[in-house]
Amino acid sequence: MVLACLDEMEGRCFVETLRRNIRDMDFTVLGVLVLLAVYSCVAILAATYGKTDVGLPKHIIYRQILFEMIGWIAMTAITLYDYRSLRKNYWWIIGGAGFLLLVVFVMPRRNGAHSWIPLGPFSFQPSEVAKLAMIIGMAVFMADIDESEVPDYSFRRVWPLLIMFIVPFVLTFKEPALGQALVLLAIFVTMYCVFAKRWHFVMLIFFTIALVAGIGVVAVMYPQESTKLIENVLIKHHLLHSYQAYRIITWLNPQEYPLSYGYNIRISQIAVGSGQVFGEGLFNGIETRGNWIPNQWTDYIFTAIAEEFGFVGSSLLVLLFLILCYRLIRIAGTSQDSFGTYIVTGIVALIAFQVFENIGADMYLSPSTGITLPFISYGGSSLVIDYMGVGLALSVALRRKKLRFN
Amino acid sequence: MAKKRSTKTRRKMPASRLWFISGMTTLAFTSLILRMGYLQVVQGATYRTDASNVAVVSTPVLPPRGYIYSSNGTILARDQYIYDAYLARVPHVHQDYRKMAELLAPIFHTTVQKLLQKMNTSPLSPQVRIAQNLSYTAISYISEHHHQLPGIEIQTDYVRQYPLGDLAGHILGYVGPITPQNESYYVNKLHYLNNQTVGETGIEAEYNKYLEGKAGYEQYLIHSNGSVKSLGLLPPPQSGDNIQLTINSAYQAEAQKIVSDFIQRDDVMRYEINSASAVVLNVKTGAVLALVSYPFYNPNWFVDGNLMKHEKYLNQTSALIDNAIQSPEYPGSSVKPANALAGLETGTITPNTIVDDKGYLKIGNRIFHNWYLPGFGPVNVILALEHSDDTFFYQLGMWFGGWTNQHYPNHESYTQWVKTRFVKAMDTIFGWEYKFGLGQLTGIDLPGEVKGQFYEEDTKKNYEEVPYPLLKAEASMKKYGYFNNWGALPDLAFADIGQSQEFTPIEMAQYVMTLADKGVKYRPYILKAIYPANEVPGAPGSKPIYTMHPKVQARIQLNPKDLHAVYQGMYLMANAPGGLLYQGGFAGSPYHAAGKTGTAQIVLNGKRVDDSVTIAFAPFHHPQIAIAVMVPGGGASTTTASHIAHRLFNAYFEMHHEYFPQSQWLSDHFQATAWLHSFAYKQPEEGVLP
Repeated sequence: MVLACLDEMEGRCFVETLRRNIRDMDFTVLGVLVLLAVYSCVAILAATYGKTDVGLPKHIIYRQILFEMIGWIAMTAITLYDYRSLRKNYWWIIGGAGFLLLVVFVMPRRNGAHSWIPLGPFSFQPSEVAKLAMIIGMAVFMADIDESEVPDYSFRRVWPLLIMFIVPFVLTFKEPALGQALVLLAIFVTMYCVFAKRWHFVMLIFFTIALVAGIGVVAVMYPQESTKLIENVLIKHHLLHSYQAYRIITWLNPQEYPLSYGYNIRISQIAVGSGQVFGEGLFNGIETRGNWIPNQWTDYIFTAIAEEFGFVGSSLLVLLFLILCYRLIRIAGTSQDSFGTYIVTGIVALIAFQVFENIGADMYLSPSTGITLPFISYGGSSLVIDYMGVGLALSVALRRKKLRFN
Repeated sequence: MAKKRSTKTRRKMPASRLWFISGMTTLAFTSLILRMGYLQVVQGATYRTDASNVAVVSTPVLPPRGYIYSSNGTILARDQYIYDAYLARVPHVHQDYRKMAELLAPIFHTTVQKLLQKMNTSPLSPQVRIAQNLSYTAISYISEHHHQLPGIEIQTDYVRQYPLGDLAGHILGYVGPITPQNESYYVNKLHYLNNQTVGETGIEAEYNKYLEGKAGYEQYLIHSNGSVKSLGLLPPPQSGDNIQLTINSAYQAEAQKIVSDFIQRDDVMRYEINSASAVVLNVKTGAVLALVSYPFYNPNWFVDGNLMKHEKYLNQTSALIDNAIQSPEYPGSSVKPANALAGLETGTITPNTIVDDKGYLKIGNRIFHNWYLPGFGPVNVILALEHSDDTFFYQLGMWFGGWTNQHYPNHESYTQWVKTRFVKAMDTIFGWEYKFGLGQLTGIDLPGEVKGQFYEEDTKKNYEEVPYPLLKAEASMKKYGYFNNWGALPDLAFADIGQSQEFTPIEMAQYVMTLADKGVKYRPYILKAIYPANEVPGAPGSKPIYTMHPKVQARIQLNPKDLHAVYQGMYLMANAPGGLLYQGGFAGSPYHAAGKTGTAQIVLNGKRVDDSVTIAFAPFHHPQIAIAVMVPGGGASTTTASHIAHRLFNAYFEMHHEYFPQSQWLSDHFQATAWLHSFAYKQPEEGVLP
C-alpha cells in the first residue's frame, strides 16, 4: 500500500493517507479530551466565582478557553507531524528545554520559586517543557538501543539515560518545584520499566515496592519518629525546603500543624468529603464559595469539582482519565516502532502520575507537592504541553501498524 | 532498511510491560475512586458538618504592657483589663449590620449611624472593634441576645492607667497609638502591629522595648452559623517587663506638694509664676529621687479618651514640657562656685586674693553694680561666695581676660584682644562650667533632654545676645590661636555672674552633685531595675533581669585647698547669718547644708522678672542628696527657690528619720489617700489658669 502511494503525486498521497487514516484516528481520546475541557471550564468558573483574590488572573475563564484553543491547534499540528522525524531533530528539543531550565533561574521569583518566565500578559513554565523533552530524548535513546545490531541493556551502555533524567530533575528540584521533579522521576521509572531487560525489570519493581512499602510502614507505624527524622535530617541539612518537608510531615501526621502547614490538607479533605454523593451544586460549595481553599483554580481545582459535583462528578472525572490512559496504552502497544511505544508510555506516565498525585493530595492519599491536574487546572503551560503530549500519541496512532484492506 | 528494522525489533513489543503499566494505572485510579467513595459517601455527612466549621481566623492578641514601679514599690503605671466588643465578619452567614446596630446603639450609648460606620470600616479585615470598655450591662446584653447578633464577640483588651494621676507624670510620660511619624520605626523596623500601643514620651517611650512585650495570636474556628470557637493562643503573647524607677513615690509626692503649695501661697502668688522645677539627686549614685516640673499634667488624659477636655489647660500652661530637662534658664549667681574654682585652679586668684567691693566695678565707660549697692568692702573668695558678691566676680571675670586698670593687656586693640585673650577667658569660665555638666546633655534616661547654651553680646549687632560656641572656640584656639567673634568687653563680667548662659535644672543638679562629690561627675538616671513580666520588684524571690549601675562620666581634678575655700563659702551661705540661704529659710535647720543661690534677670511674657535659683547639697560633711530648684519669675532667690530647696531637704531627712526629732518623722510609705486629697494631685484637674 505504501509503495503504491509512492508512485502517485505527493499531495494526493498525503490527502489519501489522511483520508484513510482518519478512520484510524482515536475518536475516543478526542471525545474524552472534549469532556475534560468542559470539566475544566466549569471547575474554573466554580473555583473563581465571586472571588476577588489578589493572585486571581482577570477574565480567567476566557484565558483558559484561549489556552484550550491553542492546545487543540498544537495537538492537531503535532498529530499531523510525523513523530519519527523527532529521531533526527531531538537534540534541538533537548537543548532548548535545557536552556529554558537554566534561564528560569535568572527570572524573578514568584511564590518563592524560580518557575516562571514572563511573556507579556502570560507566563510560561519551562519545567513543563522539560517533561516532554525528557520523554522524547529517552525514547530516542531507548529505541536506538532496541534497534542496534546487538542490543546491550547493561549499565555500560544505558548510563546516558540516567544523565537525561538527573539533569532536568536537579534543575527542577532547585527551582524549587518538588512536584515537577517527582513527575520526571515517575516518567523515568515508567519508561525504564518498559525498556529494561526482564531481570532488571523484576529488580526495579521489587526495589520500588520494597522502598514504597518500607517508607509507608515506617511512616504509618512511627509517625512521630518520622517527623523528627525529617525535621532533624532533611530540613537541617537543606535537602528539602522546610515548607516541602512540612507538607510531608503534615501528611504523616495531620494533627501536627493544624493551623499552618496542615491547613491545606485539612481544608481540601473537608471540601472533598462534604461533596457527598451528588455534590452541593454548582456555585454552592461552602468551602469553594467561601474562598477557604487557597489557589483553588490551579493546584486544588479538584476540590471544587468534588465539593460541588460530589462522588458522581469526581469519580466520572477519574474514569475519564482512566479511559484516556487505556487508550494511550493501547496506542503504545500498537505503535509501528519501539520509539512510538516509548513516547506514548512516557506521556501515559506523565498524565497518570499527575492525576494520582494531584487528586490524591486533596484526599490525604499522597503528600501535597504542588502540581497541576492535567487538562483541568488553570494554566497555559501545563495545558498546552498536555495537549502536545496527546498530540504526539495521536501522531503515533495515525501511523500505527495495521492491516488495511482497501 | 525497513526490513532490517522489523526483524531486528527484538522481542514482541513489550506487551507484558504495557499490561503491567495499565495494571498500575488501574490500581492507582481505583484507589482514588475508593478513597473518594470513603470520604464522600461513607464519611460525607460528617465532612458536610465540618465544612461549616470552616474559617480558622487568627487575630492578634496584644500583650499587657509592663508595670512601672517606684523605688519603694508603688505602682505608677499599670495595664487595666477591659472588655471590648468586636464584629467578626463571618462568611455564609447573613449579618444584617443595620439591625444589629439598631439593637446595640442604645447599649453602647451611641447612634445607629456612628455604630454602622464603625461596623463598615476595613471591610477586608476579619474583625473590627465596635465598642471599647463595655459596661456590665452591655456585656450581659450581648451574651443574652447572642442569636440576634451573629458575629458580635466580646474580647478582653488592656488600657494603660496611671493610678496616681499627675504624680511623676512628666517622668512616666504616656502611651498612644503608633503615629505616621513613628510608624517606620515601630512597624517597619521593629515589626510591631499597627494597632499596638507604644510609649510616646517619658519612661514609657525611653524603655518602650522592655515595657511593650510581644504580640501573640489567638486562633479561632468560625462556624458558618456565626459562633466562634477559640482554638487557643499560637503563639501566646508575651507580657512586657516590669520597670522600677529610682523615684521614691512618697518623696516625689512630697516634692510635688512642696513646689505647688509654695507657688500657691498668697505672698508668692503675686509673682505670677508660670513654671518651676526641682531635681533631687542621690549624691552617691546620681539616681534621681524626685524630679518635679510644674505645672503638672495627668498622663491618664492621653489614654482615657478625654484629652479634648484638657486641651485648653495644656495649651495655655505648656504643662507637657518637662521643665526639669527641657527648659534652660539663666542660672544667675549659682554658677559662682564653678567660676571661683576656675579662678583658683587657673591661678588667676588664690583663696587669699582680696577685692575691695565698693558696690560697683567700672568696666570701660560703664558701671556695673553689686546686687548690694553699698558693697561688702574687702572680700576674699570665701566671703564673696557667702554674700554672693557680684563685684568680686566681675573683677575675676575681667582678670581672666587680662583686663586690668581699665586697659587691655599689652596695649592690645579690642579687635586683637577679642579674638584671643577674650576667647581664652570665656573658654575658661564656660569651660569650667561645662566640666561640671553645665551646657551639655547630662544623659539622663528620659527622651527629649535639651541642653543649655552659652552667650555673648555681639558688638557688630548692636550688643545683641548671640550663642557662644564653646567647643568650636576651644578647637579654633587650639588650632589657630584665635577665634573670630565680636564679643563685648563686659561679657566676661556677665558670664562670671551667670547672666550669659542658660542651663536646665537637671544640669544644675548634676553640677551641684559633682561639687558635693569633689569633682566626680555621675550621670543622673531614673531606671533602677527591670524585672520579668511576672515578678514584682521587692517581692521575695523576685530577681531583676537588669540593674542600672551608677556611671561616672568624668572626674574633675581639683586642688583640695581650692575646693575647701569654695566649700567654706557655700557652707557659710547656708549657715552664717549673712548667707543668703541662711536668710532664705535654712536658718535653724537641724542639719548643715551648703549651697548657692542665684537671681537672674529674665524677661517673661514681656515683663522683666527674676529667675529664682538655688543649688545645694546636704549634709555638709557626708553629702547624701543634691538639689537644684529653678523658678523663673519667682523673684529673688530667697523668695521662692531657697525655701523650696529647704523644704525638700527637710522632707528628705524627715522621711529618712535623721536630724529631726521623732515627732516630725514622716513615713516613707506612700500615703495614697493623702496624695489623692492634696492640691498637687488636684492641681492639673482644677487648673492653675488665671
